[in-house]
Amino acid sequence: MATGRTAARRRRHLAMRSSLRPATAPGTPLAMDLDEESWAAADRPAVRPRRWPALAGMPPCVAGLGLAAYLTVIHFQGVTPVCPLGSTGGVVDCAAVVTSPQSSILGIPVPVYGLLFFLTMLALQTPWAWRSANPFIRRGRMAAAAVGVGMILWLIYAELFIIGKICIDCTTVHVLTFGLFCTTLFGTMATAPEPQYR
Amino acid sequence: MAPDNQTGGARRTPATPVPPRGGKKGGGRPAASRRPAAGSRPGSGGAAARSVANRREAIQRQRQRRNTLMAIAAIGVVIVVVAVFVAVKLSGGGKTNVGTIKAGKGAAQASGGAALPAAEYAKLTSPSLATLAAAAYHYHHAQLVAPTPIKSFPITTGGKPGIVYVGAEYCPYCATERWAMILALSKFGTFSGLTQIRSNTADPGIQHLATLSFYGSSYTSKYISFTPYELQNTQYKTLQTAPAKYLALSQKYMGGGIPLVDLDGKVFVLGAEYDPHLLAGLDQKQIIDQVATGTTVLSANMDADAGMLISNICKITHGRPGNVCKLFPTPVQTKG
Repeated sequence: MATGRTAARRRRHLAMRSSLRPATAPGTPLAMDLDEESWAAADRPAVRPRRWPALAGMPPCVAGLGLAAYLTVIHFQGVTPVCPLGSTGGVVDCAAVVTSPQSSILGIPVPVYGLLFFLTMLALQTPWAWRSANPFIRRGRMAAAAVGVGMILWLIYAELFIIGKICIDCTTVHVLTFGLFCTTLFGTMATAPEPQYR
Repeated sequence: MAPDNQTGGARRTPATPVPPRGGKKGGGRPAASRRPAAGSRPGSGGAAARSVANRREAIQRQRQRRNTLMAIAAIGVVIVVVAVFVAVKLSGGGKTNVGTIKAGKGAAQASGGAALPAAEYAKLTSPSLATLAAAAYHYHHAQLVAPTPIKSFPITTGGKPGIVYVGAEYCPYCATERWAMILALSKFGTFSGLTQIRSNTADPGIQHLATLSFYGSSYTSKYISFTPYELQNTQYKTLQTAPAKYLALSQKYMGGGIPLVDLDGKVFVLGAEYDPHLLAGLDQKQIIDQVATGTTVLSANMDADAGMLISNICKITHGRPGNVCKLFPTPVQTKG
């Protein structure tokens, strides 16, 4: 995608190139022959290369994706989920939580939101995404992590004060989301582009 | 959001080699190459450049410190919010009656369930009297059991005929019967403080049935009094103690089983009147939705059960109120 500024620069470049082209075989690309993506990328400062954000961010996404998928299937099958510390009507009661009115928001089951969240985050936590200096990716990733944390705060509130039960499966998802928020936060800082001075 | 370490001016300056800017003669050199690195200039300019470089490094370190502090603060806020939630919960605060029918004092804590929202209560009690009457008199299902006429001691409270329920929160048959009872009794008065719970037994297929507990609830009616006893909670811990005479009746007619519903000593409901398995796998909302739409086997059974109860309650109220009981001229009963 070429912005207006980038496109104008490209037009100037092409005009200049026609007068500067050295004697080379026809069709040989010049070093200055950049495509539009390259021109757009040239406007952005490069990120500081770090491998650990992707290594730290992808496992929670995969684990969260698995748990969210399981809870989604459970929801639509209408069966009681496997609850590690019990599901027998005590404080820990996964069945009570996943079948509560708060288990859906706007008619959509909460695990479906979880699936979408972890799928999105998985894409944004890949090494490619962490190498990208695209501000939409960098800010989108941080915003998604913040939304995830906001969501788990609401769900914890609902479990404690509205439903009155705790679901271990859901709590595991909450911990994963919080971990993802932390790694995304520090990863974003660690890979922030070096400041450039004129 | 963690801020990027860059300024507005810095964004306009690429770090990667940039193609030439066409408007300048002799362009073509990358921006970086037009400006030698700080400190590389010979002579007196070198010291000034070093000073500038030092200042830039100091600014960058300051930014990093600030960003780190912001990140730690963001994480700290999340941890503090969760800690406050847990602390408030452990200290017994945070009643669960927000946006719902006002719960009975301590009901949600004792039963461990969330209060039934008012909208859900309205949906649950929405089936019309005509629907319930039609179901009671015309619906036939192999596993539907009508109330039984039995002569016992009358229950009168405040001049009104009384109904006594003896059950327990863990009991799946009580879980089943409560739904129809609430639907039936709502035609004579109003419940408040009902809480959402799940029964708890090892019986295959009906381990954790979604239901509503009478514990901590209240019922007001001009025509009847209703006294529920939930003997134990879902963890089999004692909640209430029923008068011995009711336990004796339970022992006599059901071998000590529950639920027992005594309609003024004239009619008993012994056990659940319809199949508890119909509730398996459903949550409260789904059950209420089915009752409200009235298109499933569960809703047909529940309507019939409620209709049968209403027909027998009309017997003990001597046909009051008329607008309810005119549709239930005779009580639907099994042979005693």
